[in-house]
Amino acid sequence: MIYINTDNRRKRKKLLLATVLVVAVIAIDFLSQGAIRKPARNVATSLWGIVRGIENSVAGSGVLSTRSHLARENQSQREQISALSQEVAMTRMLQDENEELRALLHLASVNPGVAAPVLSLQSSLYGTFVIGAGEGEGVYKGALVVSKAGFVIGHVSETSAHQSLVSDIFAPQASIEVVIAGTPLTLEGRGGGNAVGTVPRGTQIETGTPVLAPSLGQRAVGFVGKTEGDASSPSIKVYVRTPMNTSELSFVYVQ
Amino acid sequence: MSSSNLNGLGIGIAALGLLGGLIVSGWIAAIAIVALAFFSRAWEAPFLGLIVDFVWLPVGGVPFFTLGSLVVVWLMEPIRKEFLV
Repeated sequence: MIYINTDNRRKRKKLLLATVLVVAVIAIDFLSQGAIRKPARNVATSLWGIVRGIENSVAGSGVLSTRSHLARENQSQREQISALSQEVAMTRMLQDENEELRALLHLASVNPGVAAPVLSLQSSLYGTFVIGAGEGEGVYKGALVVSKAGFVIGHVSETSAHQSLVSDIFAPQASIEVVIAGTPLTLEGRGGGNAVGTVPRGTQIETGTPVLAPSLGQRAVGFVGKTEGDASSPSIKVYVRTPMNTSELSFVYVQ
Repeated sequence: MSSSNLNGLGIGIAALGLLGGLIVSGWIAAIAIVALAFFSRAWEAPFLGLIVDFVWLPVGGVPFFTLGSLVVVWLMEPIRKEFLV
């Protein structure tokens, strides 16, 4: 019993020390404008790089292909030398990447900016993700982040030397004034590229209508995914989403 | 289970929570924090919350993972006393 009490006391002491230390680290980081969190993000970036490498190797080898994909692959492999299949998969991946970069190049010819790879594998619960361009590449806080299709998907909220933290346009608790089919409304972010707003009863809004943001120079930020409410409802709920998830993005354009 | 085994388990859960929080979803880190806090006076929980916040949150944002882990780990104290040794 004495042993247990001593052990508990020791653990309690450790937890108290951890609490004090964590609060101190947060305070130091805040006062130094993120001097501690930037190295932490660099370590996370290395981890994402390793995971992406593994993903690409697995995708290239076809180990985890679906049954239908394997059936298609089998069909094509009849016409190909089996030893080349891995190279073909790799070439396809590079072609996709190339197409994405070409689309970004088109954007660059219209609006000057920087093309940046998306480093993080998904968007966080805070509605943030990390890109591989920072102050060294001319990225600044507040810059708009645009998808290859030209949709504004977020803005830069923090920069370091060669990477930046981007906040989703529809991050949780974020709101933005938009116009849908000539009707102005405020959208509240729900995270995961989703937002919701309400318009007065009788407003005609169709699914798929593009959503424009006057504060961002009438740029598109998403499209209407669904509307909810009928003639008897006092208002209509409009659900808006971005055209793609962060996890599907390989490159973005920063303006 | 011995004290060193429990320590090892705690660090293992924290590591899984961290990997899950960075690679898959923040919910995995949140579940790991609650699990750690439930089973012991886990000093790992606040650090896990801190790292997740440092990676995903811009300076000046409210660090919900860190604050949440501190709240959970201290609020669980009476429950641990009730059910665990």
